[in-house]
Amino acid sequence: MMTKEKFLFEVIDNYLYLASLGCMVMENYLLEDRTPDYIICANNLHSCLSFYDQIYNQLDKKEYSEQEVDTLLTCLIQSLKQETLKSINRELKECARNYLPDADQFFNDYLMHDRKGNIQELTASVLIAFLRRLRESETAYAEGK
Amino acid sequence: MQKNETMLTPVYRYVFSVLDESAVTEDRIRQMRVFKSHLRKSACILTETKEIESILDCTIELLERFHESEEIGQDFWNNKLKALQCDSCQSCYHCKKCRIYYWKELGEVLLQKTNDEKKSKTYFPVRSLPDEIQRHLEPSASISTLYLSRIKRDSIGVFRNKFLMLKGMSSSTPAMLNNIFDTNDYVGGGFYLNWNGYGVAIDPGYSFVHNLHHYGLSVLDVQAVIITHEHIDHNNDMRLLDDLHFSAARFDEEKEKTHIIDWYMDEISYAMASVLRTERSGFKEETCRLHRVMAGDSAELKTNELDVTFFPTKHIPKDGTYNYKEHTFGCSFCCKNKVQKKIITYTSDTKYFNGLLEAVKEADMVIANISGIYEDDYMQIKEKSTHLGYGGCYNLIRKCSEKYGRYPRFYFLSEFWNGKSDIRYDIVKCLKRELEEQGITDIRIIPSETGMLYDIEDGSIQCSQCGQYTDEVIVKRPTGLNEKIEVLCRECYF
Ligand SMILES: [Zn+2]
Ligand SMILES: [Zn+2]
Ligand SMILES: [Zn+2]
Repeated sequence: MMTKEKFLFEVIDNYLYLASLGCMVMENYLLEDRTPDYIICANNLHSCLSFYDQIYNQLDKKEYSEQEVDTLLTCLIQSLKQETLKSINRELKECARNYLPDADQFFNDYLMHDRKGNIQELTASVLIAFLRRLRESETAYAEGK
Repeated sequence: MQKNETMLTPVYRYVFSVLDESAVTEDRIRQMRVFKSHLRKSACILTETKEIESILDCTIELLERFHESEEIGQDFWNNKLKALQCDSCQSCYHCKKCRIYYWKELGEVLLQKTNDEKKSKTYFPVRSLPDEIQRHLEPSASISTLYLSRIKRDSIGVFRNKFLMLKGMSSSTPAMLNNIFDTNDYVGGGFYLNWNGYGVAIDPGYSFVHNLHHYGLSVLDVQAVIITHEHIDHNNDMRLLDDLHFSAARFDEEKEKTHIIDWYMDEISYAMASVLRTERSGFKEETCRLHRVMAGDSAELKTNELDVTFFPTKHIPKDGTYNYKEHTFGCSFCCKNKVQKKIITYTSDTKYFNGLLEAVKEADMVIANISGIYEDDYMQIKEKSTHLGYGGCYNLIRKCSEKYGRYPRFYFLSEFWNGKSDIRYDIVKCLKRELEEQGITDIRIIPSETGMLYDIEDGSIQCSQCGQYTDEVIVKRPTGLNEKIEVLCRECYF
């Protein structure tokens, strides 16, 4: 059974951490303020916690089973995580399209997959390594290569 | 949550746990319907429920049909499988067609369909990792990553165009001495050469990797390894070096290309590595190229910058004859840049014979493995049959001077046996005096010690105290037992 502490940990670990990472990356990349996104994060955190309370209330009333509760909470975290991952990918790709003619391929090769072609999770180190690459191709483009 | 889970993983876990409890009954089906309605109620907060709901609908329908009759269930499952043969769900960041996997998994549980794609099952583990195990598996805890992050401090600059002595004593004596004196101070090792960023490990014997790390280098600073013969003070650490390198090369994902080491080895060491490769226990193709070296071969290590030639040595007698096995060798490096070319010769283990002079005649610096010294050897009554010894080290320079009118400016003696006492300082002093008597005065003879650095470009050596490079060094007599040999510049000495 997922305790509130555990749930909070998972929300941070799987969602807030990634979302903030995405914000920081985009802030850096576009040199623009992302305060509205941070506010969305804060609101989502709030909704998550009230969802938790609400759903546990149902559990107490025996309307929901323990297993259901765990599943629903995990689904919630998973959906936030997947949405965030997709939006980081989408936003970065939109920027890169300006100078990368084959952005889809580039993202697929270097972000979604490791150099052996296995799918890779988007983590801080993966993202940093990828941005370094992206910057390189950007310079190459600026130099007209 | 584990990595690479999809939107459907939690649902799968739930469905599986429900189906696991008993056969498909009305109750179970009702339970699923209730779950679906609960899911819908949560839809206000769950951003993506369409996907989950539709797969749940299919699941419920399958259960209903299956409850009717197994055959009908089968048919429904088969038809649906075809319908689900589309790309991705659009809900996952990574979707390797999670719906179809889900469906196949479900088929396996319900209809005992064997899933031939078991290997790709990473999305739907039924068990989830307990936290206390998970945290040990987190990539942040990986020692390979930590090892690599130390490497990234990039100390290689200090070693650029330098030759680093990493060898203490010969054979297994360090292990014995460490035991006798209850310490870890005694080491074996090898040598490390770096020319323009290209690193060569030479004879990685017992404790080589330890020494390499101790002086701030790592296996990723090594581009080639040379092993002159199979004795443990020359190849003991080959497996450790390879294994460590395999991990480091593999984990270094930020680097574009896989880091590869070229191994140039004598026949026996080559055979050892090949067996391990064939048995898949080391020296994997991904990270190593194995080269079998015969005396007389040469190799271009770095195009137009670094060559090596391998010359024959006489080290291991063939049983019952006065001949020697032919697979052992020494090596000469030719380090080139636009303005100059420097030659460094490493004799490795060999008895003295005139053929060696060829390799020494043009060298700027020579490292000679002296090994143990005996009375007959020192008195030049009987020369040593497997190593240079005192007589061999003396003849190598004297005869070179006689025959070619020149000799190397730097002469390092290495692989002291030290089985009885620390003879290094005294033997070098005597050798120097005796060569001087022959008119050979412009030579710096230095007992090699771990950590000593020789500047290949300038032909100078680092002062052990101030760290400056100088052409004129004074060897300091070590005072204690196994005290390190120090070489000092004039300022530090006086
Ligand atoms: Zn998916
Ligand atoms: Zn030997
Ligand atoms: Zn040896």
